[in-house]
Amino acid sequence: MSRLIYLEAQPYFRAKEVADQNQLAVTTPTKTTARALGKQKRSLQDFAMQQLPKGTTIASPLEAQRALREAIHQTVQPHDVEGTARAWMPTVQALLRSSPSFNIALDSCTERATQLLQVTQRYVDILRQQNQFDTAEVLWRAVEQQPEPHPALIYGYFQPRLDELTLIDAIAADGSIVVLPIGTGELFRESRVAVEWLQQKSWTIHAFEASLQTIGEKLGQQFLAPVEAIAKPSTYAYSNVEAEVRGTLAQVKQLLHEGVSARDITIIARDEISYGPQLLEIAWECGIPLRALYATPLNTTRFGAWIDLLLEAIEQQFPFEATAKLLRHPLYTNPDAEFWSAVRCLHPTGFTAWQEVCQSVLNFDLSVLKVGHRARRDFWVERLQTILKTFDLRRRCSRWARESLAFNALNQALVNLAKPEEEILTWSAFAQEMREVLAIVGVPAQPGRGGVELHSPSSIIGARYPYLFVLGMAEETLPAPVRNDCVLDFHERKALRHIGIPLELASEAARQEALLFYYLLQTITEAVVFSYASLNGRQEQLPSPYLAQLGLKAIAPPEMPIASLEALQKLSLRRATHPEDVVLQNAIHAWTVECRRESSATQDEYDGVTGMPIDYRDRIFSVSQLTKLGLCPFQWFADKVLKLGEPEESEDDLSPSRRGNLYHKVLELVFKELQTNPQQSLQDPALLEAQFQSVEQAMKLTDLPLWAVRRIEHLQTLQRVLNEPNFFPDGAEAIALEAKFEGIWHDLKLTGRVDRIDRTPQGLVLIDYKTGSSPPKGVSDANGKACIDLQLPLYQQVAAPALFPAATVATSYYYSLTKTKKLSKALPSEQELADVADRCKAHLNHGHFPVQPDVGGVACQYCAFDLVCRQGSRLSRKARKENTHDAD
Amino acid sequence: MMLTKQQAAAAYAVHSVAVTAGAGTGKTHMLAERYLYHLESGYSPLTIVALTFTEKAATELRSRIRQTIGDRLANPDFVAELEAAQISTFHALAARICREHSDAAGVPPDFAVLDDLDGKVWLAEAFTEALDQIPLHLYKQVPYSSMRSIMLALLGDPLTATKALARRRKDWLPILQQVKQEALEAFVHHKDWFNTKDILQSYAAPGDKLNDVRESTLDAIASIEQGHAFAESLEALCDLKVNVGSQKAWGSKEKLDAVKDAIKCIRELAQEHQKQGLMTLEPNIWDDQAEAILPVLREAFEQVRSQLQQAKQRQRVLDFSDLEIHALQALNHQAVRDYYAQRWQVFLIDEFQDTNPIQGELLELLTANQLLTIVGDAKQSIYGFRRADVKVFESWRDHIYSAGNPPKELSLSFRTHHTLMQSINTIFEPILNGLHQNLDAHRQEEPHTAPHLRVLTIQDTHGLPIDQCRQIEAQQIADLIKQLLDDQVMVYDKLTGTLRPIEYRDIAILSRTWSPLELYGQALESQGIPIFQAGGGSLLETREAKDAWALLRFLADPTDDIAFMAVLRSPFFAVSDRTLFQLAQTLPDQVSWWKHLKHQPNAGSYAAIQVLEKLLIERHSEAPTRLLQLADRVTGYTAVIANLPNAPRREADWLGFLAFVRELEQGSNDVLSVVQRLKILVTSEVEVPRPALEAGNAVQLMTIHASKGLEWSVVAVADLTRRSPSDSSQVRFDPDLGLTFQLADEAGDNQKSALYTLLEYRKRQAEKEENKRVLYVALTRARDHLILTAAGNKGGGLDILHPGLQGAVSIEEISMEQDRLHPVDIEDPPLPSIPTRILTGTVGSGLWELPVTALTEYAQCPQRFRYRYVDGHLGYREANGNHGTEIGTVTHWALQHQIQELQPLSANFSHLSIDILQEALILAQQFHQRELYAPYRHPEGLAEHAITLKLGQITFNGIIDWLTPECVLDFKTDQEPKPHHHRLQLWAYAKATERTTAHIAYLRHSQVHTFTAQDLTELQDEAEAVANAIAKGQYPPQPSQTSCSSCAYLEICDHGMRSG
Ligand code: SF4
Repeated sequence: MSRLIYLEAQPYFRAKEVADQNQLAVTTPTKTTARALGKQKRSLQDFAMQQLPKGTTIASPLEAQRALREAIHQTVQPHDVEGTARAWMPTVQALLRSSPSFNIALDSCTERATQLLQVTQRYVDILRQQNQFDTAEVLWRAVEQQPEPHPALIYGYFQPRLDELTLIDAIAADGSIVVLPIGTGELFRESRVAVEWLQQKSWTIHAFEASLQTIGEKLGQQFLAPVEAIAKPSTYAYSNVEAEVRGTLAQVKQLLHEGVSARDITIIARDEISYGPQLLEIAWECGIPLRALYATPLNTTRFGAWIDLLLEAIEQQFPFEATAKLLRHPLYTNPDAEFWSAVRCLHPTGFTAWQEVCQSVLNFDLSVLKVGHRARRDFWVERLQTILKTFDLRRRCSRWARESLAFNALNQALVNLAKPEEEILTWSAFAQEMREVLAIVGVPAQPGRGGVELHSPSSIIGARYPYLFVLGMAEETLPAPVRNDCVLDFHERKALRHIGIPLELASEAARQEALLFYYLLQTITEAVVFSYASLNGRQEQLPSPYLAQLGLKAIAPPEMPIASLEALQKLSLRRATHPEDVVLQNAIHAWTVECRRESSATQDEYDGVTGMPIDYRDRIFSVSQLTKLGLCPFQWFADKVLKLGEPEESEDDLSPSRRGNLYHKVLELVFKELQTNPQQSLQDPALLEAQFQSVEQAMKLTDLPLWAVRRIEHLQTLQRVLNEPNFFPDGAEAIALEAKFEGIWHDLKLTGRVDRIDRTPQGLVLIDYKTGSSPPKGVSDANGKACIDLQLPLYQQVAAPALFPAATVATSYYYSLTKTKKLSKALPSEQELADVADRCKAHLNHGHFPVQPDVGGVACQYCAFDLVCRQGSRLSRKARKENTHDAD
Repeated sequence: MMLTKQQAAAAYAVHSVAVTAGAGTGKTHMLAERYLYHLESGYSPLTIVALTFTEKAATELRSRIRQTIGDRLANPDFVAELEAAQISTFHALAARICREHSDAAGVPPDFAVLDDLDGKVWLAEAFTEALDQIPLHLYKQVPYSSMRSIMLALLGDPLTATKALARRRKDWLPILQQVKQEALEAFVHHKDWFNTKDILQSYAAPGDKLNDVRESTLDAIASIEQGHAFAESLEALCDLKVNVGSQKAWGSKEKLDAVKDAIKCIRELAQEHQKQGLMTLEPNIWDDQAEAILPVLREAFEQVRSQLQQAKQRQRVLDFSDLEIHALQALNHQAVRDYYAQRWQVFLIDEFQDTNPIQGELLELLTANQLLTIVGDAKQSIYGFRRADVKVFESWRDHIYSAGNPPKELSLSFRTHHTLMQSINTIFEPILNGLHQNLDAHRQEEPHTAPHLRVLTIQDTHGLPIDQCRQIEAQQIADLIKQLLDDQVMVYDKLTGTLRPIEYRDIAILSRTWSPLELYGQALESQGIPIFQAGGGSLLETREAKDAWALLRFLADPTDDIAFMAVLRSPFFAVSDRTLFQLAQTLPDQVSWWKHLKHQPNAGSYAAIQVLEKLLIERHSEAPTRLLQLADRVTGYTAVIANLPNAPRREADWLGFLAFVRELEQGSNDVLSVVQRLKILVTSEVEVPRPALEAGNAVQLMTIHASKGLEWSVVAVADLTRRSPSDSSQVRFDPDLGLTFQLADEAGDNQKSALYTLLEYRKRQAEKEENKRVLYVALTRARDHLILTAAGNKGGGLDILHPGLQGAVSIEEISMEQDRLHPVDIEDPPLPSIPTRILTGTVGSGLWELPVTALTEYAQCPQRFRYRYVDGHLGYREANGNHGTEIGTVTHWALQHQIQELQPLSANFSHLSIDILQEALILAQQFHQRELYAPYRHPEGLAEHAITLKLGQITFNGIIDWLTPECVLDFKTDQEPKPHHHRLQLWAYAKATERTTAHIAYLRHSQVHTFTAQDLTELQDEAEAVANAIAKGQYPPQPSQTSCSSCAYLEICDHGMRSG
C-alpha cells in the first residue's frame, strides 16, 4: 500500500469517511477542523514538539524575544534594540519556517538581507546554547529527529508550506493519506507545486470527481468560475458596523431560538479583534451566548495596566500624577473621596511624601515600593512578587475571570524572567523587560466556554458549519490587503527566492488570501449570510470584490427580529403597550418631558417653571445673584435653590473665577498694608510679592501644576496694575476695601461688596475690579438682550448710601486689571432698573425659573450648569414673550 | 467606457505627465487606465506608487483599477500583486518608509500610528508635562499663558515652526519692501487715483476754500507719485475735509459735487490703504522686542518638542505629522533613497494641488528619475489650513514641462450640462483670473426648463439682526427645494444616463461653515423634507454625550452635585424641578445631594435612587461602557432618544460616545480614569468628530470642504454673506520669513510688529484667493441646477462672486415676510412597524462542549459550575500550601508516560519545586508497585484514552486515565477520598466506553472504590437531568457548608456560606 494524495475539490466527506474508519491517526491544524472529523486536535506542530530531542524545549515568547534582542545587539546594533527585536521577530520566524538551514553565500544578498540572515543565525545559536528552539523551526527540527512513521490522515493543511510537507513526508507511513482540495485555476498554483513535490517523494495521486453537494461547495465553485444559477445567499449592506452587528446577532438569536445548537453557528470576521468588542457588547444586550476566542495582551487588562503604572511610578520616583493613578486604580483601593481630597491638597511627590500620606490616611505602608537601583534578577522578581502580595492583588484580581487569568499568566512569566538568577541589572532595565512581558503575554479576551464562536477564516479551514455569518465583506477588509513585511519587502523576497530562500511573494500572498475565502465557503452546509457596513466609523466602505466574484449584490437588510428588550422598548414607546414594563413606563415619562423641552411649547416644571413661589422677602440677594436671575432665571435656580453652587475647583486649572479671586484678595491686602503703613509705596514689588505669597498659600494655588511658572504672569499683571497711575490716582484715598453693604432696593433685600471705594475731592468713587477686558454685559432687557448693567447702579443707589450716608458719589466704574484701564458702561434708566426688579420679583413670586439665557448667550458663557439645564438649539423654538406673560 | 481624446492623451503619455483635471472630467477613470497602461508596459504593481488624498480615495482607486483590469491583463501575477501594491495616502507611504528604515528615520521600529483624533488626545494629555520642562527663567520673559498658546500653535506645524524660528530680520526685510512697493503701486494705479487726479486737474475755483483742499490734494498726489514725504502726504489725503466750498465759486452744483466726490473718493482710498498699513510699514519697536524674545521661544520650543518626542519614543507612537517629518529624515540618507529608487519606478499622484510642502519635498526625494503622473486642479485647492500649497503643483507641472512633456488638460465635464456649465464658466472667468479654465459639457441637453441657475439675496434687511435674516434665508431655500420636489423637476440620473423626477437625495445644501446648516435643516424638516447632516461640531458637545458623561461623573464621584442633578433631570430619570425644589428645602448645608436623597423617601426620586445605587455597586467591577449599557437597560434611555426628533442623529451620537469611551477605558476599564481623561479633553477643547450617518434618501447638508469629490443634481450654496472669521492669532510664522507674535504694551493692549502685519497680510491674501476656489468647488458640485443664496446684499462670498454674477444671471430678491420667522416644531421620527418576530427571551447557555468533570462540578453547585465553565473564572482561594492540583497533574503525566525517575518531570515542569515532583512520582509509582492495583494493570490497558459522549445538546469530552477491556479506572491523588463526588464522571467514562464497571484508584490511600453496573445504571437519570439543565442555562446556587468551604469562588460569590 502506498501513500496517497487525495485530490478532490470538495474533500470533506471522503476525509470524514476515512477518519471514521479509525485506522489512521488524524492530523489537523486546528481544533475546529478536528472537531469536524469527530477527532481530538493533533496538529503537525503538536507532533513536532513531541519529537524534540530530550532535554530541549521551545523558547517561550519572552525567552525568544530576549534571545533575538541579544542577537540583534551583537550583530546590527540599531538605536533601539527592543523595538527592532519586536519588529523583526515575525520576519525571523518566517525565515526559520521557510527552510531548514541557511547555507547561503551572503555576498549575493543586499545589506538588509545579510543582516537579517546573520541575526537569524545568531538567534538560533543563542537558543541552542540554552537547548531551546523557536516555535517556527520546530517542524524542521522534528524532521531531523527522523520520527517513526505511522499511517496518518492529514486533513486541513490545504495550503501546505514546505516545512509542513517535509514533516508530513517524514511521518507518513504507507497507507497515509494527505487531503488536498485542488482546482485548475491560477489560484491553485502553489497547491500544484505541493502535489508535485509529494509526487517526487513517491506519493501517489488519487483524484476524485467533484460532486457538488452543499451550498458551500457550490459557492466555492462559483467563486472560481461562474457556474449555472446557484441559490444566492443573503447579502446585506448595513448602514454601519453597529447595525451590521445587531442585524447579525438578531439572525443568530432567531436560529438559537429555533433550536439550532450554538455549535452549528459561527460568525466570521477577517479581523476578529476589530469586531470582537462590539459583538460582545451587543450580544450581552441581546442575551446571546457568544464566544470570542482571540487573546489580548496583558497590558490591556486592569492588572496589566496596574503593573504598568507601578513600573512608571517607581521609575520616575513617585511623581504626583503617576503615583496617584496607581493608588486610585480600581484594582488597588478605589480610595474614597476622603483619601482623594487629602492627597489632592497635600500633593505629595517623591517617595517620602507619598509614604507619609499613605501611612496617615490609609494606614498603608508603602515601603515595599522603595527599590534600589541595581540588583540580581531573581531579587527583582521576588520584590515584584512581594509587592503583589502586599497590595493583595491576587485576591483583588479574583473578582474578574480575565484579571485572575492575567495574574496567573504574569506569575508564570515571572518564573522565566527570574533567570539567569544571578544576572545583575538595573530596575529600569528590569522594568523595560516587564513591559515587554505585558505586551507579549496574552490572556483570552473572553474566558469561559460555550456559545456561538467568533472565528477568522483561517481558524476553520476544513471544518463544517451549518450556519455561517461572514461579517465585514468590504474592500480592504476581506480580502485583507496584502501587507509588505517591513524588514524584507516583496522586492527583497523576490531576490532571495533566486538564491533559494522561499519566502512568500506578493502574488502568492494574494492567492493565499483568496484561497482562504474559498475554503471558508466550503465549510458551509446549510446557509450563509454575508454582510458589510457602508460606514465604518467615519470611513465609507465599498463592498468586497469577492461579492461580485460570487455574483452577489448586497441589498438593504430586511426587517430583523427584535432581539433585546432595549430594542423592543424603542418600538413600543410611542405605542403605549406593555404597561407592566417599569422601564418602559419610565422611558415614556422621560420622552414626554423631553418632547416638550424640544418643542415650542411653553416651559413647564421640567424646564425650571416649578410654579412654587419663593418669598423674596425672606431672602437677601447679592448683586451677582440678581444678575444671574436677570440673565437666566434657571441659572439662579440651580445655584441658589438647588444649591449646586460653583463647581468644585478643577484640580489643575485656574478657572477665571479663581483667578479673579486671587487678584481681588491680593489687591485688598496690598491696600490694607498701605492703610497701616502709609509710607509704603504702592509700586514696591516686595509689597506685592509678600501679599501674593500669603494669598496663593491660602488659596492652595501652590498645588496647581506648573504654579511656579504660572504665578510669574499673575505677579506681572498685578505689578502692572499697581504701577499704572490711573489705578489709584493721586489725590484719592482708599476708604473702604471689599466693603460689605446691605440695603433695600425695590423691596428686595440686597447685599454685596464693593471692591474699593476712594474718597476724592469730587466725591466718592466706587470701583469694581474686573479680570476681563470688557465691562460685564449686565442682565437681559425685555427683548432678551443682555445690556442692562445692575452692578454699578446698585453700588451707587444702595451701597454708597448704606456705607457712607453723608457722602456724595462722584462716579463708579469697572476697572480692568488686565487692560489697566477703566471700562465704561452706560447707566440704565430708572425705568429699566425698575423693570428688572419687577421681573426678578415676578420670577420668584411665580416659581418661574425657565431655562432662558439672554439671546446672545452671555449667560451660558460662564455658567456651570449647562449639563443640568439642557440648553441648546432647542431654546430657539421657545418664545420669550409668553414666558414673561406667565410671570406678570 | 472608452476614454475621451483628452483622457487618452493623458493616460497613454509615454513620459511623465502633469494633468489638470477640471471638476467632473473623469479623472479616476483616466488614472485607472493610466495604471493599466503601466502594467501593460511591463511594470509590476509593486513598482508603482499611487497616492491619493484620502483613504477612501485609495480604496476606490484600487477597486477601480481592479475593475479596469478585468481580464485585459495577461500576466496573472500582476493581477495578484495589485493587492499588495502601494495605493495609499501620503501618510501610509510615509509610515512605510519610517517602518522600513526606522533607524534612519529616528523612530522606534515598532511604532503605532496615532490618527488625527488620537494624536490630539495624546497631545492634550502630554502637553502640561512638556510645558513643565521649560526652564523657569524663560517664563519670566514669556508669561505662562502666552507661552502655552504659542507652543500649542507651533506644535500644530512643528517643521514650519522650526524653520521659521531660525529666520532673522534679513530674511523678511526684502519681502517687506516688496510688499510695500506693491501696495504703493496698487495705490497709485488704482482707477480712483486716476479719476480723482483727472477731475481735480480739470476744475479749479481759485480763492474758494475747497479749491485750497483741491490743491493740497494734488500736492499730496504729486509728492506721492514722486516718492517723497510719503507718510505725510498719505496722512494729508486721509485728513482731507470737503465740508467747504461754495457752489458759486465753482459755477455749478455739478462741478462742486464732482470735485467733492473726487476728493472723497481719494480720501477713502487713502484711508483704506492706511488702515491696511502696508505702504508705510517699517520695522518698529515691537519687532525689536519680539526679536529679543525669539531666543527664549527657540529654547522653549526645543525643550517642549524634545520632551514630547521622548514621550512618544517611550510610548512608541507617532502622529500624522511625525510620519512625514521622519520619513523625510529617512530620505535624507542616500541609502534610503537608493532603496526606494530600486523599488518604485512609477508614481501616480492624485489631488496634487492639495500637497503640502513637506509632501512635496518627500516626493522630490523619491522621484528623481521616476516616471510621474501628477493630476490636480489648482482651482480646487482648498486645504490651505492644512498647509496645502497650490504652488507645489504649479512648480511640478512646470518642471515636467521643462523636460519636454507638455501638460495635459481634461476639460470635458461629464457632470454638468451645457447651459449650466456655460454659466459657471461665465461666473468664474473674471474671478479666477489666470487659473481659470473653461470646461465643456459632455451633456448638451437641458434636463428641465430654465432657470438652471438662480441667485437670491435679501436686498434690504429692514434692520433685522443677521440671525433672523439667516432664518428667512433658510425658509427661502426650503421653499425653493419644496417647489422643485412638488414640481417633480426632471434630473439626470448618472447611473442610467436618463432623465427622471427629482428625489430628496439629489439635493444638497452647502455652506462655508457648519454653523448655519442646522437652521437650514430645521427649515426643511418643518416642510416635511427629510434631511441628512453629515457631521459638524464636537461629539462631546452633543446632549447625548453630555448625559452619558454626567452619569459617568456621578458614578466616579457621587458627591458631584452638578453631575447628579444633570442625571436626574436628563431622560435617564426626568425628575421634575418641582420635585427637586421640594427636596432642596430640606437639603442641609455641606451635604451632598446624593447623601441627602439616599435617605429621603420621595416618590419623584425614589426610582432614580434605586437605579443609581445599583449602578454604583456595579461600578466596582464593570467597565464604563458596560455601565452605560446597564444604565440604558434599567432606564430606557435609548428608547427615549430613538423617539425624539432627529432620532438617528441622537442615537449615533450616543453610540459614538460609547465607542469613544471604549477607547478611553483601554487598560483601566475604570470610570474614574475615564472621567479624568475626558476632563482633560474637555478643558483642552479637543474636537472629537461625531460619528457619520448614512445619508439615505434625504437632502444633504454639509460644508463645502466636505463636499469635495461629491456631486448632486441640485446644489444650493448658501450663507454667502458670511465673512471669514477674523483671525487674531497671537503668533504667526512662515518658514521663509520667520516668526513673530503680538506683544502687550504697557497698558496690556496687543501691539503688532511689522513682521506680524506682513504675515497677517500674506495670510489674508492667501485666504482671499482660497475663498474664490472654495466657491468654485461649491458651484461645480451641481449637475443640473444651482441655487445661490445670501442673507444680505453684500459681503463674504457674494462680494467675491460679484464680478462674475453680473454677466451670468440677474439677482432675485428674497421676500421678507415676517411669518417666515416663526419657530416651527420638528416632527417626531416616523413610527417604525413592530416586526413580527420578537425574541426578547433567553436562548439558553450556548454550551455545547464540556469536559466530563463539568458534570461533577454542576452536581456540587451549579453556580460554581457557572463560574468555572461559563465565565472561565479561576477562582481564588488562599493557597493552603499543599499544591493539590499541581501534584495531580504531574502524577497523571508520570503515569501516562510511564516515568520512573525525576529528571523528565523536572524538564517538563520546571516551574514546580522538586518536592512536588518527588511526591507526584511516588504517587505514580504506587500504581505499578502496589498489589492492590494488580488486577487493573491489564496488558491491553490503555493510558489516557480520549472519549466523547453526547448527552442531549452537549458533547462531553474526557480522558480516561486507564482503560481495560473490562473497566475504566481513574486515578485520584485527593487528600480525602470522596467517591460520591465523582460519580457522574465515572458514569460518563463507563457509558462512553460501554464498560459496566468503573473504579477510582486513590493513590494516597491505597484504596479502590468501585461503581458497580447497578450503581452506574442508577446514575443515568441524574446525568441526563444535569446535562439538560446545563444546556438551558439554569445555574441556581446550592450553597452548603461543605461545598462552599472547598469552593474556589467563595470570595466572590454572593451566596457562599462561610464557616464560622
Ligand atoms: S447654561 Fe445657559 S441656559 Fe443653562 S443655566 Fe446656564 S445660563 Fe442658563
